[in-house]
Amino acid sequence: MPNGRVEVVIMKSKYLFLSLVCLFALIGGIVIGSQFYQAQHIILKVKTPEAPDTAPYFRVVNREKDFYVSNELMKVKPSLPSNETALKIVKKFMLKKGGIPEDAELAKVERVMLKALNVKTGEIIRQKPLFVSVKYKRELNGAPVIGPGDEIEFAVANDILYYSKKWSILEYAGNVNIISAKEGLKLLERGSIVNKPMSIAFPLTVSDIKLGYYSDGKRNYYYPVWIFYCKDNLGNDLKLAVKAIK
Amino acid sequence: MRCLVWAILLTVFALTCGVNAYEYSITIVEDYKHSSDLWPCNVGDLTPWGTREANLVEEWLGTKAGWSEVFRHKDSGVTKEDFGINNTGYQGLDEADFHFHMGHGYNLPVWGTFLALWDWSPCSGGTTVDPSDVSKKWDFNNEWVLLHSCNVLSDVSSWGNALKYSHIIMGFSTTTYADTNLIDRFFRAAIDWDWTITQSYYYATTETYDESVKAVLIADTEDQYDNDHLWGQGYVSDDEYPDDDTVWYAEWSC
Repeated sequence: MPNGRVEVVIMKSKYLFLSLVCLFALIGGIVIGSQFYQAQHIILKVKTPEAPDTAPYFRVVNREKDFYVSNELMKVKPSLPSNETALKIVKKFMLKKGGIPEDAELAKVERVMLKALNVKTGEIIRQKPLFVSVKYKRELNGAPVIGPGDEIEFAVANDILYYSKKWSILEYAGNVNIISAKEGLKLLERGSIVNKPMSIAFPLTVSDIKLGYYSDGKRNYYYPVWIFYCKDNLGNDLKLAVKAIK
Repeated sequence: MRCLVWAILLTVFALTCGVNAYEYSITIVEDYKHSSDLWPCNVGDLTPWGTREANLVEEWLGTKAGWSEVFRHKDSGVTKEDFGINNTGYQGLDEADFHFHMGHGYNLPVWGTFLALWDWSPCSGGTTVDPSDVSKKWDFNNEWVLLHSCNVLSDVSSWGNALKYSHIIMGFSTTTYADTNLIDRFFRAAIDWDWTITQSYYYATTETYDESVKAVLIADTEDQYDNDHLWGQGYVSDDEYPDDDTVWYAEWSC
C-alpha cells in the first residue's frame, strides 16, 4: 500500500475512534444525567420511619351519608363569626345529629371571601364575607385517613349554610403484612400512586411519611397506605398515598 | 303556492322545535405526545379520564338538558383556536354557551400559568394556551367555562381578563385529580336541583376532593357570581356592558 494511502486510512481510523468516543460519552452523559434527574425529582427532608410487620385493615359495613344546604350558601353575608364561634355553631348543630364522631379530627377552619379584583392592576379592591369553612377528617386507630371518602364538611355563617357527612362504619377485618417506608418511597418514585394527581410540579419535597389509610367512598376495604406529605415546587401541599401491603 | 306555505311552516317548525338554542363545546387532551418520555420531559397520561369526563358532559348537557354540541375535540385535534383566541372567523369556545376542558395546566416560574396542549413538553416546549392569548377575547356567545386543569386559576387577574362578556370561569389554583364525580355532581346540582353555577361548583368540588385541592370561581360581575344558573334552569344575569376590568372571585379549600 502506498504511504499516502496508509496515512489516509490511519487518519480515518482516528476520526472514527474519536467519533465513537464522543458518541459513547454522549450516550453515557444522557444515561447518567437522566438517572441524576430521576434521583432528584423527590427530595426527602425526613427519615423514613420504621414500619410495623403488620397493620390492621378494615371492612366497610355501612356508609353514613347526611346532607343539608341552605339557599344562602355562597351568598354575601354582612359579617362572619370568629373561627371559635363557628366551631361552637358546628358542635351545637352536631348535637342534634348525635355529636361529632370520636375518631374525627379537625382538618381545617378557613374564612372564605368574595373578592373584587382589578385585572389591569392585580389589586384587590373589595372583599365581602361568604362563610367559614370547617372540615373534620377521620383517624383510624390513631392513623390518618386521607382522601374525600370520610369527611364532615360545613360552611358556617351565623348558622349552618352547608353540611355534608360521609362516614363509613368499619369493622376490623384482620392484619396484613406491610412493606417498609423505603419500598413505599420507590413506589412513589415510580408513580404508583393511589390518589393520582393530574400533574405534579416536580421536584417534590417530602416533609413527613406516615402509615395511614385512603378513603374515596367507594372501597369495600380500607387497606394500609404509606402517606407522603409533600410540597411541590409551587409550594402546594400534596398528600400522596402508595399501597403499603406486601 | 300551497307547497311554498307548507315549506315555510316546516322550516319555522324545525327552527323553533327541532333545534335547541343552547350550545356546549368540549376539548380534552389526555393522551399527550410526550407521556412516555423520562422525567423531567414527560407529561402525565390522563387516559381515559378526559374521555370519561367528556362523555358525562354530553350525557348531562346533550341527552338530559337537550343542548346542542358545537364541537368535541381531542388530543392532537385540540388547537389554540378552540380556546377562543380570535375575535373574527372561527371563535372556538366563544361560539358555545358552556365550554368544558380537561387537560394539564401549569404554573411555572418565568412561564406563568398556561394550558398544555397535546405536543407540549417541559423540555421541548410546544403548543400552549396562555392567558394573554384569550385576554378580552371571550365576547361572543360564551357564558361559562370549566377548566379541569391544575394550577391555572392561581393567576386570577390574567385569566379573569378573558371575561369581556363571558360570565364565569371555574377551575383550580392547585394540583387537582381526574375524577368523573366532579362533572356528575356539578351538573346534578345545576340541572336536577336548579342550583346556581356558584353553588353547584362549590358542591361538586368539596364533595369530590379533600382539603389539599383549592377550587376557584371567577365571575365578571357580582350579579353573575350570585345568580347565574345554566340556561333553562333559572335566572341568568346580563352580560357586563361596558367591560369594567373588575372580576369577582372566590377560592376555597375543598
